[in-house]
Amino acid sequence: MTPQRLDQVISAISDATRRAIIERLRKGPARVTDLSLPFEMSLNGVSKHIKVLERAQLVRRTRNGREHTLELQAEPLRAVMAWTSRFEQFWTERLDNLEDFFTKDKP
Amino acid sequence: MKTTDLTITRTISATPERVYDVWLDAKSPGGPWFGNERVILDARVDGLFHHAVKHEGRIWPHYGRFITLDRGARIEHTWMSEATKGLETIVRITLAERDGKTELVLQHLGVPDDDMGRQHEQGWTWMLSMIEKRFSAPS
Repeated sequence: MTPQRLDQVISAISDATRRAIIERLRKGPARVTDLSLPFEMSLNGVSKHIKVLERAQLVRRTRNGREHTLELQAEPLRAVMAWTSRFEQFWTERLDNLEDFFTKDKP
Repeated sequence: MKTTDLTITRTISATPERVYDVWLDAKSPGGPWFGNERVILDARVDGLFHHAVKHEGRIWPHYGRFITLDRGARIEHTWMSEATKGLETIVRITLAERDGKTELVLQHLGVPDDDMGRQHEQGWTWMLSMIEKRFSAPS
């Protein structure tokens, strides 16, 4: 993941409303109109947040006529996670090697 | 600089002495030094190590000094690399026998925690909790 993509994804989740949208979408896809109901802001305001999430490729929009449905794309979060915990990634790989070594060592 | 500690626990199917020996053997595929571009390893208290890790298309040098070497029980050494941003961090491996196997606790202490920048702290904490839920326990 490029530094620009990292910035984009991290910036996208730095906002409480956008995190709430992601939390809602974790339960499954939702229509834009339904998604905006719990928020004390206009549909237009929620749409702006959704656009930020779409640009960060955290959310995918499908259109069926006038109905727009949003779906969570969690893969960028996984990539950010791998980057941020570089020490954990490093040691996890080495401990995997150690574990494999003794597993294969067995008769 | 803000720092953090990392702890990873594993159960390894071997005695603590075997795990200890393999961990400190630069030629063993089970050890952390294996497969690196270059390894210098002087595994004694106050002995130094260097290893060059190839990652993301380039070489990342690591340096350290052994502090504690207690066969079958503990390995402790300092650890400096570009990723520690000049800080001398501590890697501590504690080994304990559990039902014929080894419980290995790896701690990496004092690693820099400023990669994300202060403005992203809220998002970072939230993301960790969410990813844990999303990927560790598939729903």
